[in-house]
Amino acid sequence: MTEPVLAVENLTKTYRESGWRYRNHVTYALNNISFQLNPGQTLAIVGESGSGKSSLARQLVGSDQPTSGKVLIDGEDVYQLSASERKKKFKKVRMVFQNPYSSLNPHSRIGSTLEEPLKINTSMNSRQRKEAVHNALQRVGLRSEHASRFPHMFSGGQQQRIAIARALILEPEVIVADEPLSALDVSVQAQILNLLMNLQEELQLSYVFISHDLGVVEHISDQVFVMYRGQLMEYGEVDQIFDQSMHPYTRRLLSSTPTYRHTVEYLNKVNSPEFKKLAKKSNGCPFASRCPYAEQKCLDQMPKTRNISGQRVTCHWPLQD
Amino acid sequence: MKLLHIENLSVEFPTHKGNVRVLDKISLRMNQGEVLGVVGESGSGKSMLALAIMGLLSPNAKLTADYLSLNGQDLMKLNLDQRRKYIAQNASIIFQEPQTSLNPCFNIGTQLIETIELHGIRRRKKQRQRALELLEAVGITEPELRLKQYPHQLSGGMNQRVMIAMAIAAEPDLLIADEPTTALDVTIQSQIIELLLELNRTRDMGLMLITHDFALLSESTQRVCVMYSGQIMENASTDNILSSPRHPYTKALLDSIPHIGERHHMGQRLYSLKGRIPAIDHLPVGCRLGPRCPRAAKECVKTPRLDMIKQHGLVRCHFPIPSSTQVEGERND
Ligand SMILES: Nc1ncnc2c1ncn2[C@@H]1O[C@H](COP(=O)(O)OP(=O)(O)O)[C@@H](O)[C@H]1O
Ligand SMILES: Nc1ncnc2c1ncn2[C@@H]1O[C@H](COP(=O)(O)OP(=O)(O)O)[C@@H](O)[C@H]1O
Ligand code: SF4
Ligand code: SF4
Ligand SMILES: [Mg+2]
Ligand SMILES: [Mg+2]
Repeated sequence: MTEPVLAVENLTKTYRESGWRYRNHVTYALNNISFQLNPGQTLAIVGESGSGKSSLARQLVGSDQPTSGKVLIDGEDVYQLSASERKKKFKKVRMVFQNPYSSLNPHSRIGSTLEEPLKINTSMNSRQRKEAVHNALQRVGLRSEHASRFPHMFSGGQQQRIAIARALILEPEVIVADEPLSALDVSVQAQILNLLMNLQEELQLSYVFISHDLGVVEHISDQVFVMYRGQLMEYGEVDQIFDQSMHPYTRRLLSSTPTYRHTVEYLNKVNSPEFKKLAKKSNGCPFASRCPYAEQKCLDQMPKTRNISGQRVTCHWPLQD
Repeated sequence: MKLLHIENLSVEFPTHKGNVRVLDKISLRMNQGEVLGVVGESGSGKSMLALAIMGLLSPNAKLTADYLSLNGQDLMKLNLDQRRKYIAQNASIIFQEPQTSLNPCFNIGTQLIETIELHGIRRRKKQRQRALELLEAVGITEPELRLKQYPHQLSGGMNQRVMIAMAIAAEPDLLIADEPTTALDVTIQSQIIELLLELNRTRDMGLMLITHDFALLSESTQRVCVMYSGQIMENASTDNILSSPRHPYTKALLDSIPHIGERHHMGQRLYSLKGRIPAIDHLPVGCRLGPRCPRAAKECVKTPRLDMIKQHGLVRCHFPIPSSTQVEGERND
């Protein structure tokens, strides 16, 4: 059996809202999240805004520390390691952001932006670093002479290529991409998507691919992880999620997307305002206020995540038609 | 009578390098109650077209047109003031970011009532009643409460509904929606589009839906107009465009979107047009798609005209893609 390159176990991240109005209310950005990513595979994370996708990305690349739970890189729990060992582990997991321009330093030439992680993390000399920069630029379809230019001299698509080159420079095993296409036009999206697939096949990379575009998700991913309000709703192989989704929230997402509307059965019922109010106050299923299949039990009790022939579903009444 | 009738509309801006033409001889027509989709990559001039129709171009823009009529009134015959007033009574526009169009310092009620007052309702009580009606029409729950709330207290989807309420306050015959859902979540997106289509049906309001999302157009529009670099490249019924695009640009856009059921396979790639849309002041000679076009040939250094193709629509290309049904027909002969 292959060992996962990246896994999380019961990952939880809370933020404390400050200010008197909130009375130190605690937001669960991530609530007990677990998954595994195998080498060369792509795991897509889907969910509406505010569901915790970016928070998850930050925990995965080590730019933020979870409140509780484990992050395992190559099978090792990184928070059990010494700080320097942990830093080495996180070199294998790198990030690409949604907005390439704001993620690049506008005052710094592309070459030095790309060299930066090498200076911090390796003992390469200047000549070796130049060569690594050259290779990374080639890999993403740019040329060595681009190293001397500034970010604003590039189009959005090229900037995203540069961001990918920066993520690649330390030769990672995993790339976490947080909505990497949503700032780009469709024809450029296709270019970047193709580049990501080329790189995956050449370098055996694994991806955590955060996206709200189900068409792209169906196209690129091996597994899909659907989350809502920081919790796992449904998790399974791409075929399972797109051909036999069992969770009402997954169905809701599919039925809201024109391309997939006709592929799923979904009750289009709106809950009464009274029910919504009760649901918002309850500690049951987070989706209950919007869920057309919700019953009293959904308000009384948080559903457990079940394993139904390899597909994880957090719902009292998984859909079966 | 056409709802909207545009012949050869161009818009130019003075720059330090001389005039740049951001819209080049746009011609299009919309029937009363029609839903027209406008697509194209960013920078193709979609928003500029919307602003030109609405009379909202900045003062330094130079607009010319052989004919420009809205609801039968020739707009070019009106002076600027008359034109603005007439357009405001007949057409409205909503934009991508509702937050930027709403004033954060005033509550929803004040802003909505201001719009209602503009359209001639003077009595305070009537205004309020109309405001509540409008909020209900756009599916906002607890309208009484919303009137007192400020934009930051409402979600993005709710703010977009408020914008739509303001836009329909004057009962316009034409509503232009410029990427109305790009900034919203998919579940909210579909609700907003449904609302716009419902208003289209129940009020017989023409809708110009500007978007870069082909999937959206496939369900909601009757015709699609494809723009590139300030020109119309193809203009045909939605069915024709989707089943058999004749312009290489339209086909490229459609092919670069992953298709339903297309899943991760080793070596499988999406089609993608090489390069990117040219800067409007650095256009290629001849066909503007030329440097990126897979079908380009010598002839393409001459500018193609927007020509009628029988049983299809208008296409600007020297070498249009043969129709998929036509090819079959030829084989049968
Ligand atoms: N630094 C932070 N401080 C307080 N709350 C935060 C912080 N980061 C995220 N959150 C909250 O956590 C939740 C998840 O946010 P996020 O991870 O950005 O979701 P997504 O990327 O899916 O839109 C939201 O409710 C958000 O308000
Ligand atoms: N004030 C201006 N002066 C000169 N060119 C402009 C001005 N505003 C916009 N443009 C240009 O007009 C073109 C069309 O822009 P726009 O209508 O916003 O495209 P779209 O909405 O399709 O993305 C772009 O090339 C843009 O750079
Ligand atoms: S547990 Fe209940 S409310 Fe939650 S998704 Fe399932 S049916 Fe809907
Ligand atoms: S005119 Fe030539 S370059 Fe332009 S779209 Fe047609 S084939 Fe391509
Ligand atoms: Mg996010
Ligand atoms: Mg625009």
